[in-house]
Amino acid sequence: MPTLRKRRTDISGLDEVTHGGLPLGRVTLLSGSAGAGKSVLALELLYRAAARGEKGIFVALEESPEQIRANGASFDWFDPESENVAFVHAELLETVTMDGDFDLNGLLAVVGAKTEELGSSWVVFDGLDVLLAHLSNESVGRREVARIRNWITERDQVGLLTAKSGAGSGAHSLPFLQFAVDGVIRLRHQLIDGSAFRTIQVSKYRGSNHATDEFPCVVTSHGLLISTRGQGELDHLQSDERVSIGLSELDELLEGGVHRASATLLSGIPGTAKTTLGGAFVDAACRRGESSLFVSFDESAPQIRRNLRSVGIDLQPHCDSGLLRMLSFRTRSANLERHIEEILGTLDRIEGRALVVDPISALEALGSRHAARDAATYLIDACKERGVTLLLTSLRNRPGGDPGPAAIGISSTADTWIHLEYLDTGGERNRTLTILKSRGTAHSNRTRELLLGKAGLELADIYTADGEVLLGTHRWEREQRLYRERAARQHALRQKHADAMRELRELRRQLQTMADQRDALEKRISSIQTSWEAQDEQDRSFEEMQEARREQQKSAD
Amino acid sequence: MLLRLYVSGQAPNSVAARQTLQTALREGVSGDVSVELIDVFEDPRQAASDGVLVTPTLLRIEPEPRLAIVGNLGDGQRLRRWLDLTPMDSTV
Repeated sequence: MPTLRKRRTDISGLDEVTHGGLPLGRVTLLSGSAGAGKSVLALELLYRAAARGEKGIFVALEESPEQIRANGASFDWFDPESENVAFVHAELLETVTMDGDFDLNGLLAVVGAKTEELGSSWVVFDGLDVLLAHLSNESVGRREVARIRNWITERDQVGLLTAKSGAGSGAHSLPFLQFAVDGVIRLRHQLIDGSAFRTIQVSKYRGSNHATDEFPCVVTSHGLLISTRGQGELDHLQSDERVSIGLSELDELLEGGVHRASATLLSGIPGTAKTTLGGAFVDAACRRGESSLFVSFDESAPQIRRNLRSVGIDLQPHCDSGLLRMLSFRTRSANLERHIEEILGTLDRIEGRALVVDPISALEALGSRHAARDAATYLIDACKERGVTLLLTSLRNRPGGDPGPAAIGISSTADTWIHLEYLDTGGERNRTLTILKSRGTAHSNRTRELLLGKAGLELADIYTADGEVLLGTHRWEREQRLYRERAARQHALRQKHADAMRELRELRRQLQTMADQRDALEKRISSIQTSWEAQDEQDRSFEEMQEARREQQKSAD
Repeated sequence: MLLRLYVSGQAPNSVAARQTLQTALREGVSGDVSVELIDVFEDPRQAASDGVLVTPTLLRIEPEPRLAIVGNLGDGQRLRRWLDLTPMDSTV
């Protein structure tokens, strides 16, 4: 079996997801609901190929070529002058009468002629579901898709079909199409609170490895941008160079700063100096002579500069010299995609090397948490690709507890995660800073105190003594518990002792009483005995008297 | 009347449509009917200019307006009605 030959797509992320592009001599289906961006993606594929000199034909089955071209006109990849892309208008007229079975040979003959004329190697059949809907049943549909597939294989084209998923129920629904093609790319599109939330997924790619995840993507004036969430990380410039984060003590904790082109997430509740650290970050970048961009949401640039000046960070000279560009957005002034596009567009214009977005969590107000995460992930990828060192701040409203929710789901994507918190100790409220993670760095994970003064930012160790006091508190508590336990035990014993003594006393009293009774009894017995003896004496005297009388009578007789 | 039948080689539907049309014409139609037979693979440009996407496709070129039937014409009933309903100008 011959190895699969692929053609690059040059669409950001798509070559990584497909492991090298789309196959030649095979058919790939782009499926998705209406408005998912199938046609525009197909068109972009053709124009990107055309830019490399590979020619392609767009067969418009659903819209007129004029409409298709108008859709493409707003993108920077669109070239109205290009002679490498040709259109075939193939809308079946509504007025025709259908009578019996038919086949798509007419279309293939027309497209075939065009292919030969142009010498093209890419072909898109856009809106195939519309054409298939006219066919009488599924087996006819299979036959015609097989016809197109054979045609594409014979002519060794990169073949693309687009079809609505879910549409054309029954015979022409997607399940049958999926099995009839070599590859399937699904596009999904949802509107959440007015924000577009798009994903792309390669669900089938016969004969090739591919990423199977659903990847978030955005449509910008640069075309489709797919966030591959580290799939293509190896392609990113892995830099060993460290750059200062703008706070020397923090740089030390990070072994010399953050990696160039890395992403740092700075999370915390309001007032924990996130913006200040962001300011210090761009200040440091500008001092290195790097063009930088500071993006803020719902806080004006002058206001930010004024606040930063009060803690010794002056951004004005950098703005004056043109090294620093500050963009302030009203969150609700545009949707997620527009904001991201504007940020990256500006970054490209000024050839920025450092970017701060303060706070990235503002994007959550524009859509779902999901959408904000994907936008942030995309931004991180885009910055890595450009070699831009990125700092994102993220706001969390509730202090304490797990810092996870503050990370808007990008804690795994960010290379470094620093969390800011307030710590209430001894009636004071102190800012603390903890490095929760720093990829490729033996960072310290001890919590430090973050001090803000007129001279700027400073990090201080939390006093060891404090730590011992904290430990002491635990010990004290433990001792208290033991003391209470011992006291309880003693109390119980004392109680038992007292009870026993009381019992003894009672017993003694009873003994005394009994002894008294015994004495009384003995007295009685003794007195009875005495009486008895006295009685005996009397009785004896009486008997003696009787004896004497009997003796007297006998002697008298 | 001028008809144009687009076929694709010896594809079954194309063969069936051609036979059905020939039978219908043999059975008699009022007025002259001429038929152009075009194989899309031999003359794709003509097919493209007539907007033919599927085969077989039968076009009525004259008289105006243009009409089209796509498909293998089935048992020919629809074709006969179509030909009969077409207002004939015997002088053509």
